[in-house]
Amino acid sequence: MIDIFLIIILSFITGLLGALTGLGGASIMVPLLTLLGVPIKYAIAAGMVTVIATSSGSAASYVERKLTNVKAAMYLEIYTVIGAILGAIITSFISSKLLYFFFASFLITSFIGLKGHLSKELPIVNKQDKISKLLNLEGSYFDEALGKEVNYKLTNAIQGGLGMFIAGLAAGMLGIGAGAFKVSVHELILKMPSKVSSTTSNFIIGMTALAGSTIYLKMGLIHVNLVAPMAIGTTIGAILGARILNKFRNVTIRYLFLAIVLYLIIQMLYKGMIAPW
Amino acid sequence: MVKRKNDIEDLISHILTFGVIFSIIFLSIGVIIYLIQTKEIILEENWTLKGENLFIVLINIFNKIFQNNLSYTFMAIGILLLMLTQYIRVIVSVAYFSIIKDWKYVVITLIVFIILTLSIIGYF
Repeated sequence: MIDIFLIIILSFITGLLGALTGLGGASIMVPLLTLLGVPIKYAIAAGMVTVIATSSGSAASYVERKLTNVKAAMYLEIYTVIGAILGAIITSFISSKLLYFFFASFLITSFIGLKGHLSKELPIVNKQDKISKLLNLEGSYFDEALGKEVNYKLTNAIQGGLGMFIAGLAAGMLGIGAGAFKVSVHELILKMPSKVSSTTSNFIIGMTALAGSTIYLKMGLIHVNLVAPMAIGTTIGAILGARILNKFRNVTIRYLFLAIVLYLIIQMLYKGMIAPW
Repeated sequence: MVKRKNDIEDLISHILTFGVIFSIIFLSIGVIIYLIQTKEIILEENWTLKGENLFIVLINIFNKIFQNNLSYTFMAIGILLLMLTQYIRVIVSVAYFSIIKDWKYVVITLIVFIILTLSIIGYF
């Protein structure tokens, strides 16, 4: 028996923290649900649907502010959507025991990612590859910190696409957005400026989550009474988090979050070990 | 009518905003009705979305509107609205790129649309 208020409050907090730290709310909420006794496949399915809500909610304002590269997003969605469908199918069939270990591995990579920082400088692409050029993978945005319009070009379209396929696979399997991974692909492979990369990733996440959700829906894993309080709490938390993001660069929050992630890693490994095959 | 370069951004932004607002309204009404009955989440089969695909689930909701718990109906519609919002976003994108005759992106958005449609109708 789980209290519905507890789910709303926890989702709100994870949504808020997720927006503040860049690691999505679902990647914390899904393991928390398993600690409350929710079977991991139900938790993953609920996480996947919740991710659509947080992505749509925050993407709306970023897209309007032209920070999102809509064309690049649509090209990359081909790969993430296929990855997410495949990931969700795998999760529907494999043992829960393995899922705990997969989740623990994902959290470990997030833990390492959260500790480090990606380059903040603007990447410069002198020579685009043929496909990026053919698809006009470029854009411009107004950078408030620099006080000028920034033009940029993307490159490595195919490699970036394959990276996004893996991100989609992880997202579909674990019921999360895999935003941090997507951002890394955007910045390191496609050479996207960091302001564009996070908002573009967030935009793509909604479509990836829809693809994964369709599989969980077919499998009958989506419980409306679990998704509803989660989606409400996380979305409100995420929208509030995105609003206070700029005023609130606190190192303490980062450490708090790292501590939570570390605790969840240990819990997932433990649950994986005691779970039957 | 002269098309501005950023029309697609405004259009998508509006779709997402309306979709999320309506969905959260439905989900909230569902949760409030649920709370009147119980505050415990019971993970049983009668609280799952039932159907081979999204459209059958939608038909089932309306066919069984008087048999199902009212909170179930509201929460289920809220969830389907969330999913349909993203689906509509792709359809609108295909239409938009067709109107401005950007054929490369018509193809790209069509690929996404076809894969999603197959997934939504339960093909995979």
